[in-house]
Amino acid sequence: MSTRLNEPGGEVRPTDLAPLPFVVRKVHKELPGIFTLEMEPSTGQFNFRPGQFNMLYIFGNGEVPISISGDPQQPACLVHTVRAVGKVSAAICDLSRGETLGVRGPFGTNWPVHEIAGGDVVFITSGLGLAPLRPAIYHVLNHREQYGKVTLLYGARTPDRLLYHRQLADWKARWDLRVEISVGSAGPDWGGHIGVATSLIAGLEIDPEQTNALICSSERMMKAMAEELNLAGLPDERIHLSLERDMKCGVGLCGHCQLGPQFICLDGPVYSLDRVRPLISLREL
Amino acid sequence: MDDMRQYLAGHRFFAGMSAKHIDLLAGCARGVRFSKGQYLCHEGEPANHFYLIQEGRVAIAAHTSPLGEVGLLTQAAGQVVGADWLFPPYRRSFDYRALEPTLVQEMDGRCLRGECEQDHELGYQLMLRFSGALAQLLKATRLQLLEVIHEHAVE
Repeated sequence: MSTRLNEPGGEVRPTDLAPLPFVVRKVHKELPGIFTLEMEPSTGQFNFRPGQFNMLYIFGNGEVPISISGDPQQPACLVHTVRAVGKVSAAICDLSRGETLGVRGPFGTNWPVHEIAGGDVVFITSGLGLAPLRPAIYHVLNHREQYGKVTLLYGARTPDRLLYHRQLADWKARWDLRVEISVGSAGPDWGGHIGVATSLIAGLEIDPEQTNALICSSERMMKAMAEELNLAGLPDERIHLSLERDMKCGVGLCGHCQLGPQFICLDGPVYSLDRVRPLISLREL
Repeated sequence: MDDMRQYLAGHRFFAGMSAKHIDLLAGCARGVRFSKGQYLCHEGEPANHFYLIQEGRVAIAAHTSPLGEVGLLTQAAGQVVGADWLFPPYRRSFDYRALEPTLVQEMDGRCLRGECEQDHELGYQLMLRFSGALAQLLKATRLQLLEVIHEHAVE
């Protein structure tokens, strides 16, 4: 668990501020401009909790916060899915097998996968939001007997923009996981659902006493998802979301990711909605 | 007729409507089956009906060059499609295609337009429901648009 450096008793782990070298073992192009990197920890193992993020450092170039998207039960392989949007993330996506990058982390709070065990789980996401949610999906599937009904609702702009499409097909084939996919538009060969991801929520039968929703998308979309979930009877404390801000230090010192009284890098990125609803409704934050 | 009345009275779209209006609606409805891939209607055609999807799914699509048919929305059982019947020029703006064997209740819009002119309470009740459905669709469309803008902004 990360602690605030500026609080009494706050501890700094060596990896909090000094990047450790990780060797890239595999780079897979998921979609145009989006790559998944599998990396080998120099320490042999890299333990993390679903929902946490790392600061990825291209030596001499810069650092960016990226959510971990791999399986927490596979600590020998650190997985990140990265979209090339700036010079650092583009440089990360340009890495080849055998090259090295720096990793600080893991940072932040996690999806409450242990706390919600025993009940139903609905994962709702769109676009690249599936990447930060995937470790929680892995966890739930790795411990499937601990959960009730498990559903994944996923939206993408078009069928060819579905992230992890092979894995989605595998998940769809499972009898113990309901997967519903929606795309924004599609050609006539697409027989699935077309519409905004939130429209999938109306088709669910949610038991508000039994269900927790884990959602990850753009903030505006998450608000709309939460609205639909509220209409289905799910209270804010059962809706968990991952917020994105400009994380820099990762340890709650620099203030770049501050959202009101919260440091997203330390107090987040995963919150229950009741904790952050007043904050994400404010325009200036 | 009794079955139709019962179906419409239990449909969430018509929830709260009077028995008199349900009777009137039942008289303007007929069940129609469409096989997979069959079109309920095409863009540009007169919009003289709207459809309650009872079973199956319907895609709302547009033809664009050079993409061909582009699906924009799917609607499933329990949903209502085809609001063009209510607004001039009463023409279809999109194609409606059955994605699977689909049963709809086809509502006679021409008949209902006349009834609404005579009975403004019926007109108000229908307008209330269609404007609610259209507002939801508009909201969903704006969310989709925001997603596109968001993706373009970070690309």
